[in-house]
Amino acid sequence: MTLRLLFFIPVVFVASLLPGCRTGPAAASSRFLQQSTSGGESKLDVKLPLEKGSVRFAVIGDNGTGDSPEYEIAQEMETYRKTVGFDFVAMMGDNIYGGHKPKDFERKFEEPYKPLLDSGVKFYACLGNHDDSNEVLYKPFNMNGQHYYSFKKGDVQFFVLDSNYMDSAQLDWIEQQLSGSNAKWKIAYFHHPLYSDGRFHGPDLDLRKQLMPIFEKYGLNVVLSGHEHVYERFKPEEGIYFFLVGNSGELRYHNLRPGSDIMAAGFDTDRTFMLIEISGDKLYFQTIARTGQTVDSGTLQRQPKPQVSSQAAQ
Amino acid sequence: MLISESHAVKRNIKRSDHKIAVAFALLLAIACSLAQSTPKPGINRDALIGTDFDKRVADYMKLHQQALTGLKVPQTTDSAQITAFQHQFAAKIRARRPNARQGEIFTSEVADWFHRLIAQVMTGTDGAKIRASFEHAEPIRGIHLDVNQSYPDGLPLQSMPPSLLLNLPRLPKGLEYRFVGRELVLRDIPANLIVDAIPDVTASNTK
Repeated sequence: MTLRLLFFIPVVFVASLLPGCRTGPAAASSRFLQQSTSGGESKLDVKLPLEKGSVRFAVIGDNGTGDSPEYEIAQEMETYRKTVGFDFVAMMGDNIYGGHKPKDFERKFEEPYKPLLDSGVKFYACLGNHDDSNEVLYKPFNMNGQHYYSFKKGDVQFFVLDSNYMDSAQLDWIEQQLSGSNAKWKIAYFHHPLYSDGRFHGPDLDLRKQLMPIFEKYGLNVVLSGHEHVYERFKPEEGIYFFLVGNSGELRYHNLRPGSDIMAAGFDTDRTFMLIEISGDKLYFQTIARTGQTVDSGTLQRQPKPQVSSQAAQ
Repeated sequence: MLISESHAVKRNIKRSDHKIAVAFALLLAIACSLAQSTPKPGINRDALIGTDFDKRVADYMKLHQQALTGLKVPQTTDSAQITAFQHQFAAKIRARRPNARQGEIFTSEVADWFHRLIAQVMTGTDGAKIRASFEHAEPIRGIHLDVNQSYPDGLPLQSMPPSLLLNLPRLPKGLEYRFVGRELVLRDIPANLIVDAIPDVTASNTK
């Protein structure tokens, strides 16, 4: 534990108000949020403040199936975009499942997200285990030929990693990038989750062992991942907020392990995508299911930079 | 009787001499063999193997660069161009090493060394965690890929345990290690081509 946690400001969990949504150990025996059958008929329910000058983006993961749920999520994203006005999408990997022929790119990416692409929304992809390495050359994924890269939006710097192949070159790059970043918010995203209550994969402990010391040292704020085909939000670890969005196309129904001590909220009965808005020291999030139902939302406070590195520097 | 006894003693002495000579010859042979297989003081045998591996990899990368000459790496919205580039690149590499066989880069010495490096990690303190991560990462089973074969379209790539990668020799950009079934393969990333493979790596070290 670092001194950062002394400054921890409790998260306002709107999710805790939702029926059946797991929000912590006290609710460990409660049910997960069940999908409402009438959710699709409800009007748009935006939980974000939509502040002027804020950074707004969507998050999808494990989406590239080409099947109808992916299309329905994409349609829901477009509906929200019209109100929320997000201008880019962070992709958690498994962008294109199965074959990677031109018709696959069309059916699994270009067609479902056409309204978003036509509106000028940019997609920033990372590679999952089902992705072809040469997706880095596919312009709409904005990877510029790189397996790992960084981009900045306002006060937020994103570090997009290739968790399929975390070698010394990439670890050196991450450390160099994070140490040189003066961004207010530092967000990393990659395919394999460091924390997960999914039964199918579980957390990648080896990856966690390599990355967490670097993330802690340089004050990373948020980590987003996919791979596990559920939605999960975790209690902060070492002042870092973790989200798992691996069900924007694929789904492993009822795959979350009950009784978890690390879970803040979970949803495993339908596909979802996330909306995030960052303004000042606050991050607002809203997770929306295929039917339009909000399954999790809340506000997170940016944690102060770790004291450890500043003391060490003196 | 005395004479015959004397002959018997001499025969015994001759037999003993013979045995000593055979034993000496054996010892000499073992000593020579050890002298040949044991590196001279100050020379790390693994470092020599590593240097040899690096040289073979560098030679391959020269060929890779030559094959790339004349090809334009696309950055495009047209995925067909990407596929075409990949196929052309692979074809040019194959044409430059048409008789490439398993073991040209992963020689038997290099393969033995890799077995040891992998075993070090897999049987180390974090071995259980690494094996668990490996098993949870949808391992690719029941498949064998030949040198110069393309990695099959649609087949997921097995993610590599970071601790293991950190214990293996660093590769130049454009090459990577991957587990495929029971093999550790060396893959040319942009050409999507199997460059070499070590058989029975995962089988011996991850169970």
